[in-house]
Amino acid sequence: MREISSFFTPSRQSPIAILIFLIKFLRVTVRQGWAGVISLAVFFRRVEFSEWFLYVGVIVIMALYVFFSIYSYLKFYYYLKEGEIVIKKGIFTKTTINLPFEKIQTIDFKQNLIQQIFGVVEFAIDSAGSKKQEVSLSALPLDMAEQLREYILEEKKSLISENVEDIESSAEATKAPKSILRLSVPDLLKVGITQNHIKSLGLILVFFFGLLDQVRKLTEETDLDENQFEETVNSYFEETLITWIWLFSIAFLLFVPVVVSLVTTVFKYFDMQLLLGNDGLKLKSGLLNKKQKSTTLRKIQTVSWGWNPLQYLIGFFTIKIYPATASSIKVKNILTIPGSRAEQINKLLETLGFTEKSQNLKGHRMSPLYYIRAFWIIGLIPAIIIGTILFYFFTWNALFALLWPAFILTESYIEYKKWRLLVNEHVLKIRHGLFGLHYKLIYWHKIQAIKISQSPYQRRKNLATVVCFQAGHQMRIPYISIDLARQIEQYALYQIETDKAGWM
Amino acid sequence: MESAENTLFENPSVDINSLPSTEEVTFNKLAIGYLWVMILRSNAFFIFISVIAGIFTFVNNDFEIDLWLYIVGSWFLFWILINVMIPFKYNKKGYAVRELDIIYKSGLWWRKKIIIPFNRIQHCEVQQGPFSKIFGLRSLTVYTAGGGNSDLRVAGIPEQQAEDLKEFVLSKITAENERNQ
Repeated sequence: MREISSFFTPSRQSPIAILIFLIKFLRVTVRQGWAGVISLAVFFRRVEFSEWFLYVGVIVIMALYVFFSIYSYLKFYYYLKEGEIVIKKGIFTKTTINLPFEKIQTIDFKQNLIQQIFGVVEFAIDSAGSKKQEVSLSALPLDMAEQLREYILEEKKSLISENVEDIESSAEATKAPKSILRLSVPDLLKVGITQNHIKSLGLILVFFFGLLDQVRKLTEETDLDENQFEETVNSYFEETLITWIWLFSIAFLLFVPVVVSLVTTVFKYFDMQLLLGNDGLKLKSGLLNKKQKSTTLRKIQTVSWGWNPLQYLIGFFTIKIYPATASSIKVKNILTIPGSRAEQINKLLETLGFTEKSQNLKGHRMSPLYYIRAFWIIGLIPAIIIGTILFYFFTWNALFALLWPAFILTESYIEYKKWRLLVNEHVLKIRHGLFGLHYKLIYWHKIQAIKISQSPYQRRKNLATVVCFQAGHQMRIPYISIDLARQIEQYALYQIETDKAGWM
Repeated sequence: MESAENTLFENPSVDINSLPSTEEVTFNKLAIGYLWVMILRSNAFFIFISVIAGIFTFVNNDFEIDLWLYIVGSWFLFWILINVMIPFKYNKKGYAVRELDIIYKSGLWWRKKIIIPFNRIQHCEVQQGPFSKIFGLRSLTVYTAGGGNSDLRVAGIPEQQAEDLKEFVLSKITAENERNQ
């Protein structure tokens, strides 16, 4: 542990950064420059340069990389100043980034294999502001990183909410991080299997149908003349050998992706833990590349959870937590938990205060005109147009085009049936789904803008679509009565405009 | 779960229907010069496409003359229709500034209305496009957190008025921030 004051003098990162820079350079070269390398190689082959020229070239390039890695390490300084973190860097152009604490949205730690071996982390700061700058330190010893983060977040909190009554104080009273959820390896295997759902299922089905076909062929071939037996046995063996080789390679091709995705799931989400600490939620995971995402409770905008049919079978949900972001939502900002049980969701919702606040919800459906409209516009009319065109080519077979509107009708009817808007004075909750079932939950006061739109048809039928915008995420409420839409708008504006708690 | 009564939820602590509605607001129209900006802008597009199509037909002139007439005829009909619609479109655009929020509405066929409370605005900006410059107009863009989806842009405000409006919104933002602290 270091003294906090030592962070106030410009210092370099851990020397491991050199190695990380070097790997970054190499990776960029491999990713972007391989075409160039190949064309160079072809060029050398043609001109018939002696081989040592190539080796010298590689060595020179490597030496340059090493040089630049060391140089950029030496030129990289970070330190704290009054209320901000400063970073100085640059080989050719020198840049100084001053990042005030209150602009900092989240601080994430990441670890790849090398960083893990040397016990350092990447210290990545996500910031708000019109000029978005990604600030990250490539290698910082873990204890220092934690100390620094704690200090910055503490300072930030005191800067922003000096006299604001902190609504999260009750949650923050618990000092030690509390585990909300943890995934074991068997859990992850289930997650892996349910993740490549329909695609791999289809592939396996295709494979089995192929196998069935083979079996049928073999049984047909058994009733044969006695005389021909000898001959057929020989050719039979040859044929079956080839068929089996084919089958094995197909099986191999089919199962390898499944196994690969299983393995990557286990690696990616290994020992996933959702923790509740002083500074909000933390989601840790990863075997080789350790990742840690975090958000303060105040920043959480939307919580969504749901399942697909396969997940339903084993009782697993996917949870997504959307924190407020500076720019539009990026996948990397979302805290995704690929597998969790019902009681774990309840625990999470309770932690976020949702359980208490979502009592006595009143349900609203969307208008049945939603699926009737979908049937006409997406289903029947295109089917008739395309059907008449197809009629010229396939005559009465073109009637199959009518399957399309039937499909659309079923699909949008199911969607209509499952859809619910559930409201009380604190929260808005949406249930939706086609095969599975998904939920989305937000607080009224965390909305930041409201949009009401009406198509000409909706205007005739007194319907409207409302969009509730949040920082980085949005909730769409389609095909509800204009009266209900206006009530949502009025109540949302009332909640936002009288809000004192803050929304991010 | 459902009830026949069409209220948003049970036992509200406020009477939702008595809350200020955005329906009763009188909207400010955009400056009349902006109608010309809209006409200029859409015609510039039409002229651009027409010139390209003209060059194209001139270069390979093995078109059937009848077909060509149909295409050109319907193109010009479309052009005229769009121009006829512009004043109506212009008429539907409007903005309003209330005590606690800013509203913008637009759309002739597809109507939309977006409302942003001042305490959710990140910053705002005044801009000017080339056509608007001719008529001395500016646009005000109000930015919210989390990217462009919920930003609000009011075009066609006279220059001085736009600057004043920006100052007003900025003062509202700081006032709201102070109120919350």
